[in-house]
Amino acid sequence: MDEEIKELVAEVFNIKENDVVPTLSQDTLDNWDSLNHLKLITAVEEEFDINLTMDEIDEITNIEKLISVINLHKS
Amino acid sequence: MDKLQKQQLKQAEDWAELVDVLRAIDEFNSREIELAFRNIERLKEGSDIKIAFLANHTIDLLPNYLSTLSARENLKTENYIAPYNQYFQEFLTDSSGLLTFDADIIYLDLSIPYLSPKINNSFLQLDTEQKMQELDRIVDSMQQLANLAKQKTGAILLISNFVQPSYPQAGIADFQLGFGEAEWYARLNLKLIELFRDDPRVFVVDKNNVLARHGKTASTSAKMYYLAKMELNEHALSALSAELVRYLKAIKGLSKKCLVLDLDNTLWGGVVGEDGVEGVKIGKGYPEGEVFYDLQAYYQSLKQRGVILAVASKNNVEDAEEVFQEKPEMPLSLEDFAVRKISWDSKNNSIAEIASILNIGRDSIVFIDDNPVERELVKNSLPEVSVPDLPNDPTGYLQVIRQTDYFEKLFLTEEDVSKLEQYKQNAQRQELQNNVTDIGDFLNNLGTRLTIEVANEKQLPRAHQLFTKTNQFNVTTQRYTTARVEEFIGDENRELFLFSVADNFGNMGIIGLVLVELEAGQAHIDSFILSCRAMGRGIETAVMNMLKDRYLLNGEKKCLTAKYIRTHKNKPVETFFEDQGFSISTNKNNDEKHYLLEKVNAELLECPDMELVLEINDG
Repeated sequence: MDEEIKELVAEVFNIKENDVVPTLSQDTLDNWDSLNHLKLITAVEEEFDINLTMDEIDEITNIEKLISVINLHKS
Repeated sequence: MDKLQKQQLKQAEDWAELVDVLRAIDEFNSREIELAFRNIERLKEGSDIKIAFLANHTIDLLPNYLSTLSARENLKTENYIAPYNQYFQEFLTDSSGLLTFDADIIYLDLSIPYLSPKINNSFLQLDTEQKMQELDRIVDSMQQLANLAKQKTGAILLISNFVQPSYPQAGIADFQLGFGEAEWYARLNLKLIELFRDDPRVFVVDKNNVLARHGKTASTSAKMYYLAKMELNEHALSALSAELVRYLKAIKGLSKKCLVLDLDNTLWGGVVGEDGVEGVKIGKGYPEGEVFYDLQAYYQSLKQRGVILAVASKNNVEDAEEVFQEKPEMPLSLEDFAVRKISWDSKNNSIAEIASILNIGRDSIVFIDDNPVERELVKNSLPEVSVPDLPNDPTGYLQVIRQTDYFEKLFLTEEDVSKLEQYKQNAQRQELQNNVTDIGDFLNNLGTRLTIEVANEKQLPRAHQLFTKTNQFNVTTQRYTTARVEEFIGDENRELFLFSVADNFGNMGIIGLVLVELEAGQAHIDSFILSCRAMGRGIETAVMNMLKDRYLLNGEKKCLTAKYIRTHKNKPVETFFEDQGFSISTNKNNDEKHYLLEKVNAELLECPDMELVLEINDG
């Protein structure tokens, strides 16, 4: 996984970088509440200089999807 | 924030270190705010100020910004965010988070889109009467909320005003409408000002202007607004927090007292010693002259706000004074400065001397100098002094200086407006003192008139100011809130005395207070405060004589008790009670002493000749 994403996710959810795995999701992580979801989105948009759509923001329910959305915008 | 700064944040070991790291960071993006906030929470022990946030839009990120900017001022905040849109319920339910939180400050931020969808979406479908009804309804709610806040809490209430939309629904024809959108918002905001102007516990925060400063269209992210009812983006949160920090500093009494100015290239363009009086640039009619004219006018306005002005300049006195004499059109004249140190002495020495002449702490001083070398010298040798960095180009000075929040106060009292006069009178008193050899003669001949009165409602702002701003002559340094002070005034078990001093040189206004708690058989001095301007002339002894007389010699009490709590600033009163004849009852530790004075031991002490006016209603 991209180190940058790992670091960012770890920072937003206040968890260890090693714990950032593709399967990490809103269901498995208590910290992933609606407020932290917004913080995640804001941080991602800021960090990668991209603009996510409302649908994409809704879709990002786990790290795997987050990575694919970011990659889609970067390519 | 760079990688190193991130590391430093994470590795900071104590609060002081964290504050230093935070101060070195210029800007925070939203991610960095989170990181900063997390480390603030990790290292702060206790809090200096408790803030509750109430809103009808998502405001959950604001506290993190505010905590971070406050930490840069060495202020620890504790935050409570009320559940979304429950601002009335929070006041009306005794067990609510808000009421159990016991806030020092409540920040209420309501926005029109949720408060009045009609105004927000269908302004053009409303007739004048309907628009007026909406306006009145909102004003009524604000009034009710303010009343609730005052009844149910002891907090100071900060209410944000309403943000006028960037684009009116009628477009450029808005001003031509009978009652347009711009007018509606202006009236609403004007009503708020009028409603709370004289209320010592409610203050309107000019959010409309704060966002305008930053740019309203750049203050919001439409996506976040629709996704999360989040109206303010990270830039707006940052700007709003910076504004709120001004209030926190004012409430916590952290504002500075004195502005020390350099002369050459700071008050005027050029160097008088080289360019001559004719060569220095100041005045209307040409670009460089106007830059410095406006700067001087701004310093003049600071003086009107109660800031003491002083000069520290390396110059020949004659040269410097000649500029003021030859250019009377300058906004500042020699008389505007309470102290002038114009010599070839180093700036740090001059500033230290100014602090000692004015009898103020060095941490109450802001120093402005165009020369980065001088600024560095002062920063390094007098770290307590605030030294703003200035850009190379003088046209940028005013912007930088206006942005600073050194001198913020919640309101200007009469004492503020006449402060310079008082400090100058003090300097004159000092001069007289230097010319007489006997201090007793000097004090006896000042023509002092001391008035001691029981505090009333009107004096609440000044009383509160004395509680929060006096550092040196303050025996217990209890920083009471306005609400608490208000309670003291009506409390029959307490007596709050204010004292004011006038003499041959002028009127100093209210310069001190004593708060006494009445108990069966004894009276306890909870606070004894004297402004540093009035120290060293026996006022405190005269006041103490009054207390001894009132409670012991001619009163019913068996004894007077008191306390001294050490701070790093109140050394001047370390032995005050001993000096006044009290004996130590308990020596809790090195930092707290308890005192007792029994009726049999009470005697009035000699103090300088003065006229005593007692306006105390014995009931």
